[in-house]
Amino acid sequence: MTEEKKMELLEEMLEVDEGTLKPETLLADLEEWDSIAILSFIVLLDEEFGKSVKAAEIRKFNTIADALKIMEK
Amino acid sequence: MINPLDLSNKKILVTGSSSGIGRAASIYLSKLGAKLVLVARNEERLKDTLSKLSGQGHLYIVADLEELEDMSVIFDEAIKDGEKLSGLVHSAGFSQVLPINMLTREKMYKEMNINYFCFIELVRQFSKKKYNNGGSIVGISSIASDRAEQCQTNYAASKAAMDIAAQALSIELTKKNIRINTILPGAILTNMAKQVEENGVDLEQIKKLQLLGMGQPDDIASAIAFLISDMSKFITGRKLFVDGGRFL
Repeated sequence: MTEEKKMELLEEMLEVDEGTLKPETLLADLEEWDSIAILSFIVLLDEEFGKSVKAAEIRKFNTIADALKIMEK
Repeated sequence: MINPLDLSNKKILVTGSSSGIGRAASIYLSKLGAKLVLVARNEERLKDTLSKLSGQGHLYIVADLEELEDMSVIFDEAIKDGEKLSGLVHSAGFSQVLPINMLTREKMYKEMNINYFCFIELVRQFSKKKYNNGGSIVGISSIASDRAEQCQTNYAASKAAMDIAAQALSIELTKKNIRINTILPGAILTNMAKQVEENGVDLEQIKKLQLLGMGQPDDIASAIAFLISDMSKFITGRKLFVDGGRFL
């Protein structure tokens, strides 16, 4: 999956406008990145990439780049 | 001396008996003298449960309730030795932590199917005269049906459906000398709970909500035994909270 498509999935999941997210965007600065977003991301990783990732691992992420990195099959 | 918890004259069918509460209940009921019919998908794990049962005459049936069109085959198998059932415990269940934006009809159906539709179909079959001599049905619901956490929309609804259906069914089933109740476990340390924790639910936080802390599968097994036994013969159509005192 391309980086653009991954970004699109994240923007759709977080319901933010297209182009809002950059790899360097700090998750702490994103109002939409909350406990429910983390649960949504767990489901997204499972469905789109067949990955089972624990919430504790995701909570350690600092930037969108961290999220993009794990979005691989 | 009386022992109303003596189950030695009872044959009980337990779904989801290969793990968690279903397994604990099967073992517990067998210790009280019941003959068990274990039902689950995984044969290896069923055999493992079977090996842990006390007493003789138990059997297991490998079945995927989600896929099974006609559940009468389970009940035919269960009574093939000529002895009818006197109890049913529906412990098979499925839990998903799903935010609203990730909910789909397909996911909702899967959860509703195993938790609710299968429960009703099992009750329908059990209540046929050819399969029972009267008895007691226990559905394993959840505290979520009363106090749902975030992202439990469909899970909570599926369990609440069990509760209210049991109340409605109790009216019909009384005429057949069958009682039906549900149990609402709080946070219980099972593999399902561990999976939920891995998916982001903070069990430590939930544990703090329960006055008696985290429950063990046997805490639910003993409540099941109570509802299956004649000790509860004046209780039907009700929800029994076994949640360690969860009021917050």
